[in-house]
Amino acid sequence: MKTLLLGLIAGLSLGLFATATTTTTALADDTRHHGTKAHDTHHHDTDAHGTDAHDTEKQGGAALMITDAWSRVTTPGAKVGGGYLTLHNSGMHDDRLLSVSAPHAGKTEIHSMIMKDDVMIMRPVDQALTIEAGAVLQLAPGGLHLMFMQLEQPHVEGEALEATLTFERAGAIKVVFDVLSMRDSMERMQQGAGGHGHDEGHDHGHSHNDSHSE
Amino acid sequence: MTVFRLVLWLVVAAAIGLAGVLALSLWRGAADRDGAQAPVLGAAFELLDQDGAVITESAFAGRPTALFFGFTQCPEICPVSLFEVSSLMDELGSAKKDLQAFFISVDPARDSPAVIRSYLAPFSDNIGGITGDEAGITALAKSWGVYIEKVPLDDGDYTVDHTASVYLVDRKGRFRGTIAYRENRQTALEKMRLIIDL
Repeated sequence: MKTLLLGLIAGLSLGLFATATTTTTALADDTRHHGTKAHDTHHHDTDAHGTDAHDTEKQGGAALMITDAWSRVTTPGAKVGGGYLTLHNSGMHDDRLLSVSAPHAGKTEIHSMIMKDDVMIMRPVDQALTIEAGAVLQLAPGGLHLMFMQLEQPHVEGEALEATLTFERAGAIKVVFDVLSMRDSMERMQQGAGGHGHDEGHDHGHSHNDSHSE
Repeated sequence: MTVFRLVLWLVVAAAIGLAGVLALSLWRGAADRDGAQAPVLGAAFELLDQDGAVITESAFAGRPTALFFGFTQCPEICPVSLFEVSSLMDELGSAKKDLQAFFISVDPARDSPAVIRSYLAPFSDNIGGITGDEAGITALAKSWGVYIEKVPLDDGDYTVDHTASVYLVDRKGRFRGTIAYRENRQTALEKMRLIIDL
């Protein structure tokens, strides 16, 4: 009996220890992300594409490219919709996303979302988002996203929503967001999550809405 | 030497204990497929449905029910959860029988019955809405162990942090588990079947 009790206690403490470790890791991750966001140094790296990108950048070229911009349908009662995209900074300098505006939304903000113990926590991002030189930054479900707010009309499947993203260096860039059906948006989320081998036969061909700075 | 042996015995005891605990929990899980030991959660409430009519806990009685909390000013989790619940119900098809779901607003100040009604409009009639006064919603959430926190933002606006899981209740009103946000579809289907099969 004593043995069993001892075992029970040992087992329980092992379990508690494991939980505590997981929580600490999650918190550490969180802090690191916030650190990156605030990060704003212009470091000169020796990226292989550096020279090329610098030249185009001088001419006001495509140092910053935006791809895979999409949103999902909203139901009539919803006053908000999410916007997702991928930012590619092939330039030599960090750039920062300062603001976003979309004619179809009264207000557009950059938000972060985290899940903590099954609780959804969403906040506006108060600093400009930094896209480091040579880096790719994804705004995707389950994390950073654009929030189209005060919608007058719902997002309709197949619609192309325009928005203007203003960057510190690249200036204003027009981006077109494809509005996906819920089903297609779920598939896109699966792909974004590294895919679970689900619906690989579908291709949403995202090349047509790629945008470049002018 | 004696100390060393004692430590060794303690390790053995711990291992046996751990195995016992694991076996016990596995056996419990398997034996409780009929939910005999499942707890009854939730308190009595009086709130409003999407048509503005009074709704009480009796709406859950006798039917397998999926409950989830959310609000209409939430761009991802809430519409995605709603869609997932709806498509799980569709996939269960004829097996779903009297399966129902409720979207419970954690933001009743902005989510009036009319807003909820249009929010749910594209979905099946088997998915209802619940809103009403803030105190009533807070009490209902608390009785289900759902976390809700209204968080003011700099611009005078606010957001609501909330538990995103779907709560599954069998027709005897017993809580049978949750479906986590973006849980594997097969697992989610199995969990829903559990409350239907009873």
